[in-house]
Amino acid sequence: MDAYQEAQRLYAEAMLSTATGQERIAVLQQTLQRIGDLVPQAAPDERPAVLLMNSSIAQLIAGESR
Amino acid sequence: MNGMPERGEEILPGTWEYQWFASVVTKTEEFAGRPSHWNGRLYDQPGAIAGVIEADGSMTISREHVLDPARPGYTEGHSLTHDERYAAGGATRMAVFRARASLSALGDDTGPGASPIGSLEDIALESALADRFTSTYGGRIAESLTEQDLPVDSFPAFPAYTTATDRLMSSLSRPTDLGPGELRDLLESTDRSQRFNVIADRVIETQLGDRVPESHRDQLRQDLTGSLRRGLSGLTMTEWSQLTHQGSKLNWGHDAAELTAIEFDLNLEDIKAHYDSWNTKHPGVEPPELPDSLRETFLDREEGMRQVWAERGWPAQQPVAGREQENYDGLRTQIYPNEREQEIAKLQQFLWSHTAPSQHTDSAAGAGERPNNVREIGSTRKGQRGVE
Repeated sequence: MDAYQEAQRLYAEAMLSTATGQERIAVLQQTLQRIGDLVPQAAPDERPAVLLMNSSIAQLIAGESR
Repeated sequence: MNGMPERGEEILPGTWEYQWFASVVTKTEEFAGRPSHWNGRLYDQPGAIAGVIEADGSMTISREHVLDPARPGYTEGHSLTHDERYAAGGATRMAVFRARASLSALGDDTGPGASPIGSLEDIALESALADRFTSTYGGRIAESLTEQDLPVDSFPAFPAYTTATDRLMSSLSRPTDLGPGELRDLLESTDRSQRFNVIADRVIETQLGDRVPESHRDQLRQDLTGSLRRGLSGLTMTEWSQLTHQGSKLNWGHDAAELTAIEFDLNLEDIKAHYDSWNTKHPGVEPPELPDSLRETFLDREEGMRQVWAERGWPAQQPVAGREQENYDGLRTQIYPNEREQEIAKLQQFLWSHTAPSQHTDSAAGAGERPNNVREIGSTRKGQRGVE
């Protein structure tokens, strides 16, 4: 499985997670880290999509934390 | 500290980086015809993140992944290598996407019929609108800022969401009496939390006019937008499936939107018939709300759509309100012989576990209540600047 597909899988898991509150923030933080680790392995033309995916996770963390 | 990498140093006006990103935002505003909510403060974004919008209206943008790769593409006279050209194109795409995100207002997501910010329906629609904007204008924005030929256009970042939304813009043209572009502009300029409501309001105004008492509006909004919310949020499994080819996501997004449009049109025709019939028989008398029999018809129709999705291989629609247990019992007896079906089943269980009546104190389990077809990510959501 390539890095982009794995990032998609991680994103889906996070988005459909049933966790709430602090537990949800922890899930999102873990996903942020794991998708971030995949960026160097992603094909150059897919890297922007992975980075935007992670931006979406980051934005959700920012919202959850307020 | 919220677990995000702390934002980095401020990128000051007068630097190339600030001037370039500000130019991207300005061009984005020009093409969109709407102002950005960015307050003008820009910070470096550490980590593997393109950028975010902070609560105070400031923005972060990655120096490593966006600003530095972009620069060669905007340096006059620089002879770009192949890798530099594609890196600059990708960086421009990210910058435009983030700039477009700064144009969206969130609004109050706690009122009747509002879409919770971060719900699946909200993420689907906002992602689709941003994706289409970036693919439409990203190249033109780059052309307006550099002589270099940068490959900004690409396959949609969200093929299912974006194709479905494109299709729905066309389908909703007739009932809203707006062109697809006009309808898209209306949604883009509406707070994210109110975008589905504004479609319903426009349809009520155009198709039903003063035949509808104002007290009926909230319920009619739900009756009209239920199919749209389910149609888009139900694509989440498709969009994020790791086993589905990107082209198949485009096709299913298109097909799902056609089904959604059919359900929307049928429900609208029934609603119009109710008010027209009453008005003919009782001119001048305020009409009653839709009868229970018609609401049961809506639920049957919703159930029918779920069946069609399932038969096409995407049993992604959530259970019909009031009929969840029957649906769940069916899931447990199914056999999933291959990896793809196992993936779908797993994702479906995620949705079930979040939408089952026992998970909500305010669940719309009863047939007469509002279908709970959105997923709230946080239990204590506040207004925020956020973009997906």
